[in-house]
Amino acid sequence: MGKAAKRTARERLAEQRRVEAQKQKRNRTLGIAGGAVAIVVVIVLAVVLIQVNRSSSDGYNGKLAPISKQADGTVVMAKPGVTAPVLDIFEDFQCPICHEFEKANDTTVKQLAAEGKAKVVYHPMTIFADEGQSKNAHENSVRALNASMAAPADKWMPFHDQLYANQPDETQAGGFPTDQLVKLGKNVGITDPSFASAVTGMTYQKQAEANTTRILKSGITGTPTLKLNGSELNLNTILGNKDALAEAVKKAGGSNKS
Amino acid sequence: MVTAPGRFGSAQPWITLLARVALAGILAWAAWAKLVVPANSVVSVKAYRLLPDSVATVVGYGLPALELALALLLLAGFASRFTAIATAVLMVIFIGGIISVWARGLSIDCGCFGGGGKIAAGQTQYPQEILRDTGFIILAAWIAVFPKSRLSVDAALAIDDPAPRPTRAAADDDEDEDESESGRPVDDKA
Repeated sequence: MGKAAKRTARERLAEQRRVEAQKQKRNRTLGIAGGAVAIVVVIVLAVVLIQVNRSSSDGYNGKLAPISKQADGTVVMAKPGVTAPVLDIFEDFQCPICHEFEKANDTTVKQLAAEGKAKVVYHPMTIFADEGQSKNAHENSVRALNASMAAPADKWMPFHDQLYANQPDETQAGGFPTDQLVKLGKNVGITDPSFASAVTGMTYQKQAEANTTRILKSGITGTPTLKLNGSELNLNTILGNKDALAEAVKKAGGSNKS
Repeated sequence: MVTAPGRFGSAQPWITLLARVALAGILAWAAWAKLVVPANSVVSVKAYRLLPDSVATVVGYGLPALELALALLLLAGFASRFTAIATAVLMVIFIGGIISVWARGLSIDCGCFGGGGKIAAGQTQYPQEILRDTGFIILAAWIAVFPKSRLSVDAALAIDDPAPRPTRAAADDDEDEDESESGRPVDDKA
Protein backbone atom coordinates (compact mmCIF):
# COMPACT_ATOMS: atom_id res chain seq x y z
CA MET A 1 0.00 0.00 0.00
CA GLY A 2 1.34 3.46 -0.87
CA LYS A 3 1.85 6.20 1.63
CA ALA A 4 -0.96 8.32 0.26
CA ALA A 5 -3.39 5.45 0.14
CA LYS A 6 -2.52 4.49 3.65
CA ARG A 7 -3.05 8.00 4.85
CA THR A 8 -6.45 8.38 3.18
CA ALA A 9 -7.53 5.04 4.60
CA ARG A 10 -6.46 6.25 8.00
CA GLU A 11 -8.19 9.58 7.50
CA ARG A 12 -11.31 7.79 6.35
CA LEU A 13 -11.18 5.64 9.47
CA ALA A 14 -10.69 8.71 11.64
CA GLU A 15 -13.58 10.46 9.90
CA GLN A 16 -15.75 7.42 10.40
CA ARG A 17 -14.87 7.36 14.06
CA ARG A 18 -15.62 11.05 14.38
CA VAL A 19 -19.04 10.56 12.83
CA GLU A 20 -19.59 7.55 15.05
CA ALA A 21 -18.55 9.57 18.12
CA GLN A 22 -20.87 12.42 17.17
CA LYS A 23 -23.72 9.98 16.69
CA GLN A 24 -22.98 8.42 20.04
CA LYS A 25 -22.90 11.79 21.70
CA ARG A 26 -26.20 12.76 20.12
CA ASN A 27 -27.80 9.51 21.18
CA ARG A 28 -26.46 10.02 24.65
CA THR A 29 -27.90 13.52 24.86
CA LEU A 30 -31.25 12.29 23.56
CA GLY A 31 -31.15 9.40 26.00
CA ILE A 32 -30.50 11.73 28.93
CA ALA A 33 -33.28 14.10 27.91
CA GLY A 34 -35.61 11.14 27.36
CA GLY A 35 -34.68 9.73 30.74
CA ALA A 36 -35.34 13.08 32.40
CA VAL A 37 -38.71 13.40 30.67
CA ALA A 38 -39.65 9.85 31.70
CA ILE A 39 -38.75 10.59 35.34
CA VAL A 40 -40.79 13.79 35.25
CA VAL A 41 -43.83 12.01 33.76
CA VAL A 42 -43.71 9.22 36.35
CA ILE A 43 -43.43 11.66 39.26
CA VAL A 44 -46.22 13.89 37.92
CA LEU A 45 -48.61 10.98 37.40
CA ALA A 46 -47.88 9.51 40.83
CA VAL A 47 -48.34 12.84 42.62
CA VAL A 48 -51.54 13.71 40.73
CA LEU A 49 -53.05 10.31 41.55
CA ILE A 50 -52.22 10.73 45.23
CA GLN A 51 -53.62 14.27 45.27
CA VAL A 52 -56.88 13.37 43.53
CA ASN A 53 -57.39 10.49 45.98
CA ARG A 54 -56.58 12.65 48.96
CA SER A 55 -59.06 15.41 48.19
CA SER A 56 -62.08 13.24 47.45
CA SER A 57 -64.69 13.10 50.18
CA ASP A 58 -67.06 10.37 51.21
CA GLY A 59 -70.28 12.23 52.09
CA TYR A 60 -72.27 11.99 55.30
CA ASN A 61 -75.22 9.61 55.52
CA GLY A 62 -75.89 9.66 59.24
CA LYS A 63 -78.61 11.51 61.12
CA LEU A 64 -78.16 15.28 61.32
CA ALA A 65 -78.29 17.26 64.52
CA PRO A 66 -81.40 19.50 64.71
CA ILE A 67 -81.18 22.62 62.57
CA SER A 68 -82.77 25.95 63.42
CA LYS A 69 -82.85 29.21 61.48
CA GLN A 70 -82.17 32.33 63.50
CA ALA A 71 -83.60 35.80 63.04
CA ASP A 72 -80.16 37.20 62.10
CA GLY A 73 -79.89 34.82 59.14
CA THR A 74 -77.53 32.37 60.82
CA VAL A 75 -78.36 28.69 60.89
CA VAL A 76 -77.57 26.62 63.97
CA MET A 77 -76.92 22.89 63.83
CA ALA A 78 -76.54 21.39 67.29
CA LYS A 79 -77.90 18.73 69.56
CA PRO A 80 -80.21 20.12 72.25
CA GLY A 81 -78.20 21.43 75.19
CA VAL A 82 -74.90 21.59 73.32
CA THR A 83 -73.66 25.16 73.58
CA ALA A 84 -69.91 24.73 73.24
CA PRO A 85 -67.51 24.63 71.60
CA VAL A 86 -68.98 26.90 68.92
CA LEU A 87 -67.84 26.37 65.35
CA ASP A 88 -68.74 29.38 63.19
CA ILE A 89 -68.69 28.86 59.42
CA PHE A 90 -68.89 31.99 57.25
CA GLU A 91 -69.72 30.82 53.74
CA ASP A 92 -70.79 31.98 50.30
CA PHE A 93 -72.57 29.47 48.05
CA GLN A 94 -70.75 30.91 45.03
CA CYS A 95 -67.28 30.81 46.59
CA PRO A 96 -65.13 28.02 45.11
CA ILE A 97 -63.02 27.51 48.22
CA CYS A 98 -66.19 27.21 50.31
CA HIS A 99 -67.09 24.38 47.94
CA GLU A 100 -63.67 22.85 48.51
CA PHE A 101 -64.15 23.19 52.24
CA GLU A 102 -67.49 21.43 51.92
CA LYS A 103 -65.93 18.64 49.88
CA ALA A 104 -63.19 18.11 52.42
CA ASN A 105 -64.96 18.73 55.72
CA ASP A 106 -68.72 18.48 55.22
CA THR A 107 -68.77 15.01 56.78
CA THR A 108 -66.67 16.08 59.76
CA VAL A 109 -68.84 19.14 60.47
CA LYS A 110 -72.09 17.16 60.35
CA GLN A 111 -70.60 14.40 62.47
CA LEU A 112 -69.30 16.81 65.11
CA ALA A 113 -72.76 18.31 65.44
CA ALA A 114 -74.56 14.96 65.39
CA GLU A 115 -72.31 13.56 68.10
CA GLY A 116 -72.84 16.62 70.28
CA LYS A 117 -69.20 17.56 70.09
CA ALA A 118 -69.83 21.06 68.78
CA LYS A 119 -72.47 23.68 68.16
CA VAL A 120 -72.17 24.57 64.49
CA VAL A 121 -73.31 28.01 63.36
CA TYR A 122 -73.50 28.74 59.63
CA HIS A 123 -73.30 32.37 58.52
CA PRO A 124 -74.33 32.38 54.83
CA MET A 125 -73.35 35.62 53.13
CA THR A 126 -72.27 37.21 49.85
CA ILE A 127 -68.53 37.87 49.86
CA PHE A 128 -68.31 39.00 46.24
CA ALA A 129 -68.59 42.75 45.80
CA ASP A 130 -71.27 44.09 43.48
CA GLU A 131 -68.75 45.64 41.09
CA GLY A 132 -66.31 45.01 38.27
CA GLN A 133 -64.90 41.52 37.92
CA SER A 134 -67.00 40.01 40.67
CA LYS A 135 -70.38 41.40 39.58
CA ASN A 136 -71.54 38.07 38.11
CA ALA A 137 -70.39 36.15 41.18
CA HIS A 138 -72.18 38.67 43.39
CA GLU A 139 -75.48 38.25 41.58
CA ASN A 140 -75.21 34.45 41.50
CA SER A 141 -74.44 34.44 45.20
CA VAL A 142 -77.38 36.68 46.12
CA ARG A 143 -79.82 34.46 44.21
CA ALA A 144 -78.51 31.36 45.99
CA LEU A 145 -78.50 33.08 49.38
CA ASN A 146 -82.06 34.29 48.92
CA ALA A 147 -83.15 30.74 48.03
CA SER A 148 -81.39 29.26 51.07
CA MET A 149 -83.24 31.70 53.28
CA ALA A 150 -86.50 30.56 51.74
CA ALA A 151 -85.75 26.90 52.51
CA PRO A 152 -87.42 25.48 55.64
CA ALA A 153 -85.09 24.58 58.51
CA ASP A 154 -85.52 20.82 58.16
CA LYS A 155 -84.58 20.99 54.48
CA TRP A 156 -81.93 23.69 54.83
CA MET A 157 -78.94 21.34 55.02
CA PRO A 158 -79.78 19.16 51.99
CA PHE A 159 -80.55 22.33 50.03
CA HIS A 160 -77.23 23.83 51.16
CA ASP A 161 -75.47 20.69 49.87
CA GLN A 162 -77.37 20.90 46.57
CA LEU A 163 -76.21 24.49 46.11
CA TYR A 164 -72.56 23.52 46.43
CA ALA A 165 -72.98 20.45 44.27
CA ASN A 166 -74.38 22.68 41.52
CA GLN A 167 -72.14 25.71 42.04
CA PRO A 168 -71.59 27.57 38.75
CA ASP A 169 -68.27 29.07 37.70
CA GLU A 170 -67.80 32.33 39.58
CA THR A 171 -67.39 34.23 36.31
CA GLN A 172 -70.63 32.90 34.84
CA ALA A 173 -73.31 35.47 34.13
CA GLY A 174 -76.73 34.39 35.36
CA GLY A 175 -75.44 31.44 37.38
CA PHE A 176 -77.86 29.91 39.90
CA PRO A 177 -80.91 30.98 37.82
CA THR A 178 -84.07 31.04 39.92
CA ASP A 179 -85.77 28.22 37.99
CA GLN A 180 -82.75 26.01 38.70
CA LEU A 181 -82.88 26.96 42.37
CA VAL A 182 -86.57 25.99 42.52
CA LYS A 183 -85.68 22.66 40.92
CA LEU A 184 -82.84 22.07 43.40
CA GLY A 185 -85.37 22.69 46.17
CA LYS A 186 -87.70 20.08 44.66
CA ASN A 187 -84.77 17.64 44.52
CA VAL A 188 -84.57 17.71 48.30
CA GLY A 189 -88.32 17.70 48.87
CA ILE A 190 -89.17 21.41 49.15
CA THR A 191 -92.50 21.43 47.30
CA ASP A 192 -94.21 24.29 49.11
CA PRO A 193 -95.19 26.84 46.42
CA SER A 194 -94.23 29.67 48.80
CA PHE A 195 -90.60 28.54 48.41
CA ALA A 196 -90.79 28.84 44.63
CA SER A 197 -92.39 32.27 44.82
CA ALA A 198 -89.83 33.50 47.38
CA VAL A 199 -87.02 32.26 45.13
CA THR A 200 -88.32 33.84 41.94
CA GLY A 201 -89.54 36.99 43.72
CA MET A 202 -86.20 37.42 45.58
CA THR A 203 -88.21 37.93 48.76
CA TYR A 204 -85.21 37.79 51.09
CA GLN A 205 -82.77 39.84 49.03
CA LYS A 206 -82.89 42.93 51.31
CA GLN A 207 -82.46 40.81 54.40
CA ALA A 208 -79.64 38.83 52.78
CA GLU A 209 -77.80 42.03 51.92
CA ALA A 210 -78.30 43.39 55.43
CA ASN A 211 -76.88 40.17 56.90
CA THR A 212 -73.89 40.38 54.59
CA THR A 213 -73.22 44.01 55.54
CA ARG A 214 -73.40 43.15 59.22
CA ILE A 215 -70.95 40.24 58.80
CA LEU A 216 -68.52 42.33 56.74
CA LYS A 217 -68.64 45.07 59.38
CA SER A 218 -67.78 42.50 62.06
CA GLY A 219 -64.42 42.06 60.35
CA ILE A 220 -64.92 39.00 58.14
CA THR A 221 -62.92 39.63 54.95
CA GLY A 222 -63.15 36.32 53.15
CA THR A 223 -65.02 33.06 52.83
CA PRO A 224 -64.82 30.47 54.08
CA THR A 225 -63.86 31.79 57.50
CA LEU A 226 -63.91 29.30 60.33
CA LYS A 227 -64.00 30.31 63.96
CA LEU A 228 -63.76 28.00 66.91
CA ASN A 229 -64.98 29.59 70.13
CA GLY A 230 -64.44 32.95 68.49
CA SER A 231 -60.86 32.52 67.30
CA GLU A 232 -60.17 32.04 63.64
CA LEU A 233 -58.88 28.67 62.42
CA ASN A 234 -56.13 28.45 59.81
CA LEU A 235 -57.94 27.50 56.63
CA ASN A 236 -54.91 25.92 54.98
CA THR A 237 -54.43 23.61 57.94
CA ILE A 238 -58.09 22.61 57.87
CA LEU A 239 -58.22 22.07 54.09
CA GLY A 240 -54.91 20.27 54.05
CA ASN A 241 -55.69 17.65 56.64
CA LYS A 242 -58.99 15.85 56.96
CA ASP A 243 -58.53 15.29 60.68
CA ALA A 244 -57.41 18.82 61.58
CA LEU A 245 -60.91 20.20 62.17
CA ALA A 246 -62.02 17.33 64.38
CA GLU A 247 -58.80 17.58 66.35
CA ALA A 248 -59.15 21.33 66.85
CA VAL A 249 -62.74 20.90 68.06
CA LYS A 250 -61.71 18.08 70.38
CA LYS A 251 -59.01 20.27 71.89
CA ALA A 252 -61.49 23.13 72.38
CA GLY A 253 -64.14 20.77 73.69
CA GLY A 254 -63.06 20.87 77.33
CA SER A 255 -65.92 23.17 78.24
CA ASN A 256 -68.53 20.98 76.59
CA LYS A 257 -71.14 20.02 79.17
CA SER A 258 -73.31 17.80 77.02
CA MET B 1 -20.44 24.85 25.62
CA VAL B 2 -18.45 27.29 27.64
CA THR B 3 -15.16 26.02 28.88
CA ALA B 4 -14.10 27.81 31.97
CA PRO B 5 -10.36 28.15 32.53
CA GLY B 6 -8.43 29.10 35.66
CA ARG B 7 -9.95 30.12 38.94
CA PHE B 8 -13.37 30.53 37.41
CA GLY B 9 -13.05 26.99 36.11
CA SER B 10 -12.51 25.57 39.55
CA ALA B 11 -15.17 27.74 41.22
CA GLN B 12 -17.85 27.31 38.56
CA PRO B 13 -18.91 23.71 39.42
CA TRP B 14 -19.44 24.84 43.00
CA ILE B 15 -21.47 27.87 41.94
CA THR B 16 -23.59 25.63 39.74
CA LEU B 17 -24.08 23.30 42.70
CA LEU B 18 -25.33 26.25 44.75
CA ALA B 19 -27.62 27.35 41.92
CA ARG B 20 -28.99 23.82 41.58
CA VAL B 21 -29.73 23.47 45.28
CA ALA B 22 -31.25 26.97 45.47
CA LEU B 23 -33.50 26.46 42.45
CA ALA B 24 -34.49 22.97 43.63
CA GLY B 25 -35.34 24.40 47.04
CA ILE B 26 -37.47 27.17 45.53
CA LEU B 27 -39.33 24.76 43.25
CA ALA B 28 -39.86 22.22 46.05
CA TRP B 29 -41.17 24.92 48.35
CA ALA B 30 -43.54 26.20 45.64
CA ALA B 31 -44.70 22.64 44.93
CA TRP B 32 -45.14 21.77 48.57
CA ALA B 33 -47.25 24.81 49.37
CA LYS B 34 -49.60 23.84 46.54
CA LEU B 35 -49.61 20.12 47.27
CA VAL B 36 -50.67 20.62 50.88
CA VAL B 37 -53.97 22.12 49.74
CA PRO B 38 -54.67 20.89 46.20
CA ALA B 39 -58.03 22.64 46.18
CA ASN B 40 -56.31 26.01 46.64
CA SER B 41 -54.00 25.28 43.77
CA VAL B 42 -56.94 24.56 41.46
CA VAL B 43 -58.70 27.73 42.58
CA SER B 44 -55.63 29.86 42.00
CA VAL B 45 -55.16 28.47 38.48
CA LYS B 46 -58.80 29.30 37.80
CA ALA B 47 -58.23 32.82 39.13
CA TYR B 48 -55.91 33.53 36.18
CA ARG B 49 -58.91 32.98 33.90
CA LEU B 50 -56.70 31.81 31.06
CA LEU B 51 -57.81 28.20 30.87
CA PRO B 52 -61.18 26.50 30.63
CA ASP B 53 -62.32 25.07 33.97
CA SER B 54 -61.53 21.44 33.24
CA VAL B 55 -58.03 22.23 31.97
CA ALA B 56 -57.47 24.51 34.97
CA THR B 57 -58.28 21.61 37.27
CA VAL B 58 -55.72 19.38 35.55
CA VAL B 59 -53.09 22.13 35.69
CA GLY B 60 -53.96 22.82 39.34
CA TYR B 61 -53.07 19.25 40.18
CA GLY B 62 -50.30 18.74 37.63
CA LEU B 63 -48.33 21.96 38.05
CA PRO B 64 -47.13 21.37 41.60
CA ALA B 65 -46.31 17.79 40.63
CA LEU B 66 -44.22 19.06 37.72
CA GLU B 67 -42.44 21.54 39.98
CA LEU B 68 -41.68 18.77 42.43
CA ALA B 69 -40.30 16.54 39.66
CA LEU B 70 -38.05 19.32 38.34
CA ALA B 71 -36.88 20.05 41.89
CA LEU B 72 -35.90 16.41 42.42
CA LEU B 73 -34.01 16.27 39.09
CA LEU B 74 -32.17 19.51 39.91
CA LEU B 75 -31.28 18.28 43.37
CA ALA B 76 -29.96 15.01 41.97
CA GLY B 77 -28.18 16.91 39.23
CA PHE B 78 -29.48 14.63 36.50
CA ALA B 79 -29.75 16.14 33.01
CA SER B 80 -29.06 19.50 34.66
CA ARG B 81 -28.95 21.51 31.46
CA PHE B 82 -32.21 20.04 30.18
CA THR B 83 -33.93 20.46 33.56
CA ALA B 84 -32.68 24.03 33.92
CA ILE B 85 -34.02 24.93 30.48
CA ALA B 86 -37.38 23.32 31.31
CA THR B 87 -37.51 25.30 34.56
CA ALA B 88 -36.70 28.54 32.75
CA VAL B 89 -39.46 27.85 30.21
CA LEU B 90 -41.89 27.23 33.09
CA MET B 91 -40.90 30.56 34.68
CA VAL B 92 -41.39 32.37 31.37
CA ILE B 93 -44.90 30.88 31.22
CA PHE B 94 -45.56 32.04 34.80
CA ILE B 95 -44.41 35.56 33.97
CA GLY B 96 -46.61 35.51 30.87
CA GLY B 97 -49.56 34.51 33.07
CA ILE B 98 -48.90 37.27 35.57
CA ILE B 99 -48.50 39.90 32.83
CA SER B 100 -51.72 38.72 31.23
CA VAL B 101 -53.60 39.01 34.52
CA TRP B 102 -52.05 42.41 35.18
CA ALA B 103 -52.95 43.67 31.72
CA ARG B 104 -56.54 42.50 32.12
CA GLY B 105 -56.81 44.33 35.43
CA LEU B 106 -57.67 41.25 37.48
CA SER B 107 -56.77 41.29 41.16
CA ILE B 108 -55.25 38.00 42.16
CA ASP B 109 -52.45 36.60 44.25
CA CYS B 110 -50.18 34.71 41.88
CA GLY B 111 -50.53 31.56 43.97
CA CYS B 112 -46.88 30.91 43.26
CA PHE B 113 -46.24 29.57 46.74
CA GLY B 114 -49.67 28.32 47.66
CA GLY B 115 -52.43 30.69 48.63
CA GLY B 116 -53.64 32.37 45.50
CA GLY B 117 -57.02 33.35 44.19
CA LYS B 118 -58.77 36.67 44.16
CA ILE B 119 -57.59 39.42 46.45
CA ALA B 120 -58.40 43.08 46.96
CA ALA B 121 -57.28 45.39 44.15
CA GLY B 122 -54.73 47.19 46.33
CA GLN B 123 -52.98 44.01 47.40
CA THR B 124 -51.61 42.75 44.10
CA GLN B 125 -47.83 42.45 43.81
CA TYR B 126 -47.33 41.83 40.12
CA PRO B 127 -43.99 43.66 39.65
CA GLN B 128 -42.48 41.85 42.65
CA GLU B 129 -43.80 38.51 41.41
CA ILE B 130 -42.32 39.08 37.95
CA LEU B 131 -39.00 40.24 39.39
CA ARG B 132 -38.80 37.20 41.59
CA ASP B 133 -39.48 34.83 38.69
CA THR B 134 -36.84 36.67 36.65
CA GLY B 135 -34.36 35.96 39.42
CA PHE B 136 -35.24 32.28 39.16
CA ILE B 137 -34.70 32.40 35.39
CA ILE B 138 -31.21 33.81 35.96
CA LEU B 139 -30.44 30.89 38.28
CA ALA B 140 -31.75 28.43 35.70
CA ALA B 141 -29.80 30.16 32.91
CA TRP B 142 -26.58 29.84 34.89
CA ILE B 143 -27.15 26.09 35.24
CA ALA B 144 -28.01 25.76 31.55
CA VAL B 145 -24.85 27.62 30.48
CA PHE B 146 -22.56 25.98 33.06
CA PRO B 147 -24.13 22.58 33.73
CA LYS B 148 -20.90 21.14 35.08
CA SER B 149 -21.46 20.75 38.78
CA ARG B 150 -20.10 19.17 41.91
CA LEU B 151 -22.04 16.38 43.60
CA SER B 152 -24.29 15.61 40.66
CA VAL B 153 -25.47 12.49 38.88
CA ASP B 154 -24.29 14.15 35.67
CA ALA B 155 -20.75 14.35 37.02
CA ALA B 156 -20.87 10.76 38.24
CA LEU B 157 -21.98 9.59 34.79
CA ALA B 158 -19.73 12.09 33.00
CA ILE B 159 -22.82 13.55 31.31
CA ASP B 160 -22.83 17.12 29.99
CA ASP B 161 -19.25 17.73 31.02
CA PRO B 162 -18.13 20.93 29.38
CA ALA B 163 -14.56 20.73 30.72
CA PRO B 164 -11.84 19.81 28.22
CA ARG B 165 -11.96 16.25 29.40
CA PRO B 166 -11.82 13.83 26.49
CA THR B 167 -14.61 11.33 26.08
CA ARG B 168 -13.57 7.86 25.08
CA ALA B 169 -14.36 8.46 21.43
CA ALA B 170 -12.29 11.63 21.41
CA ALA B 171 -9.45 9.79 23.13
CA ASP B 172 -9.46 7.23 20.30
CA ASP B 173 -9.02 10.04 17.80
CA ASP B 174 -6.09 11.35 19.76
CA GLU B 175 -4.43 7.98 19.63
CA ASP B 176 -4.85 7.84 15.88
CA GLU B 177 -3.08 11.14 15.49
CA ASP B 178 -0.22 9.92 17.65
CA GLU B 179 0.03 6.81 15.52
CA SER B 180 0.19 8.66 12.26
CA GLU B 181 2.73 11.12 13.59
CA SER B 182 5.02 8.44 14.87
CA GLY B 183 4.20 6.21 11.93
CA ARG B 184 5.34 8.60 9.25
CA PRO B 185 9.06 8.52 10.04
CA VAL B 186 8.90 4.73 10.15
CA ASP B 187 7.40 4.70 6.66
CA ASP B 188 10.10 7.07 5.45
CA LYS B 189 12.84 4.80 6.64
CA ALA B 190 11.42 1.74 4.99
